[in-house]
Amino acid sequence: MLRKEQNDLLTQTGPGSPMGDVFRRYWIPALLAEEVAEPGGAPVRVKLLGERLLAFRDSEGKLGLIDEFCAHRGVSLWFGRNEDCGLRCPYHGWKYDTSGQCTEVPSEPESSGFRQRIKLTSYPLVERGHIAWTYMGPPDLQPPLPEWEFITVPPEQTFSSKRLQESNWLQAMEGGIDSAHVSFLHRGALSSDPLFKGAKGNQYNLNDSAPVFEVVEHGSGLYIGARRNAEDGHYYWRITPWVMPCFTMVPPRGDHPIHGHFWIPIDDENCWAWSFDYHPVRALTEREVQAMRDGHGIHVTYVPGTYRPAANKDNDYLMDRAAQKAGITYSGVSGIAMQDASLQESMGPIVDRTRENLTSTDNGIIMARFRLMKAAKALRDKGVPPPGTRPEEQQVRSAAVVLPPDQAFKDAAGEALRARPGVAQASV
Amino acid sequence: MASESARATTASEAAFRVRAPNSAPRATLVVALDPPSLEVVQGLAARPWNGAVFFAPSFFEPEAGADPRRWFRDVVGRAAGFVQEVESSNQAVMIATSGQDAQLAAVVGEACAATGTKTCGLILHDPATRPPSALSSALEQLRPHVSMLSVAGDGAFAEAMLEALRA
Repeated sequence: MLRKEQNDLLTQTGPGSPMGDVFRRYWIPALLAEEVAEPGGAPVRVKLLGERLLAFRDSEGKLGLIDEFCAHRGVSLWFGRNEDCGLRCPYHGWKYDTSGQCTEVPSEPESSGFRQRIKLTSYPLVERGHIAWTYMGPPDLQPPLPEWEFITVPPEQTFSSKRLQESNWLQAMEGGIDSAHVSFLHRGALSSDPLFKGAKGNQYNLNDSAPVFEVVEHGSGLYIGARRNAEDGHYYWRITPWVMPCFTMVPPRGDHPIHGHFWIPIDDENCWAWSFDYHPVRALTEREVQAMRDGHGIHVTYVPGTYRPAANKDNDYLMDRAAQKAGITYSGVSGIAMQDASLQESMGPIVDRTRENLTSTDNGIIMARFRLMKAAKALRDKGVPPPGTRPEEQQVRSAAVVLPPDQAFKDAAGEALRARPGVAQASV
Repeated sequence: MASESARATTASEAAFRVRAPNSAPRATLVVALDPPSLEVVQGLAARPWNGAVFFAPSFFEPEAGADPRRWFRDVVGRAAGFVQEVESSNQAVMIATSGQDAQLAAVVGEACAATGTKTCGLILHDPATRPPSALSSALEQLRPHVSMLSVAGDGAFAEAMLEALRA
């Protein structure tokens, strides 16, 4: 459980909030690059950390992320005309460049200097690995560009998607480090999902449904290890890294692509669940990419024209009681992502953690909250920057390995937990 | 009605959630396995809890004898005997420090196994001052006797964990 003030501290990410200030020290995914692919194309509304913004690629190809509303009368610039190196408000013709600087105010003579005094808030927007990333913190503290392995491998080796999740970011992220739920909620997927099935490790999962968990700190987050019995007294470990504040990876299965998530607050009651799949040493096959586009693995299908999942709260997540009863799915909801999202959204927009009854199996969640609160307070009270912003801290991987019984998994699997260019993932 | 569909996840609908308590207090046994951990446990025991009791091996002290029932002593003097507390506890938390001898994990673990009490372990490990072998040794001693293990560098995590577990 958390006290109310602790829950508020962790779940509120708007401007000026301690946790919001933590998020504002990282490069975070803002939107898919495909959303702003065309120079001079339509601008896109982007709400992040409780701020309404607008992304656009100007006629010369420059990306911008600016305050959504015109400084003149507060009109949404989503209605704007993207023309000649800027976005022009259709109401009175005020025009802004990608930095938010007003470049034209038709009603005022250029000699007045008026337009130079008008500037909308803007944040850098940089394309890396199919994703446009932004940094919303103090400009003088901007960290180096993100170097996560999934965005640095060649484009044909990686695939990313996003989906709207109608809940606070924290309860979504906590699902990513809650390894204990996999044996229940997702048990049907191991043998049926094209992006999971066929791995030898699946058999360890199915043979031992009561794993023992170990949670170990690293400099910028945690490793959560789920231990099951393997042959000859050895342990089969599935190791999930969490990097602050909201990056998680799922341990791999066989030669399937590795996958993971970012959980990015839109506001305090909604978040973007970013999902990526990549393979460190080979191109994704057409069949794999098609499976991802078809909503398999950790991806979803959408309401056409949106990034809202086709199964959503308005249709009871397409609940299939017959499949639930027959054991085809454990919860009756189809697909790993929506199995998680349906339950996490059912908690309410911000779950009341004062009423939780956690057990020691939830220690990964408990420790992640501890680290986040500690970081938020250190930044608020002492100006200490949170960990996880440096590229070297982003060189992590999940792993699935068989180890001798007497070793700390973090040390024994040390190399396997680091991103190494040209080296395949450690997987069983 | 909205409340009869998954759409009832709005903040306004959350106001209609049942507010009555959904759990009774649980009995938590916290055991320090070595002298440095005892310092942490003594600090924890000084504040109020929801009935948690705190024990330490009495062999830290010269009056300890060979009677296993006297191997553990109550840190703050409000608990019944160790065996009675194990029997009545719902969860047991063992706290160890890397580089120290955690062999009493076996005694606590076996006592808890006999009563069906769920066990978890917390190893306090500072990688800057302790080698990986110190952690491995502690892991080896605790692993057979706990169903959940955490390794933390910050002793303050022990308090956060016990609060989260409603100890």
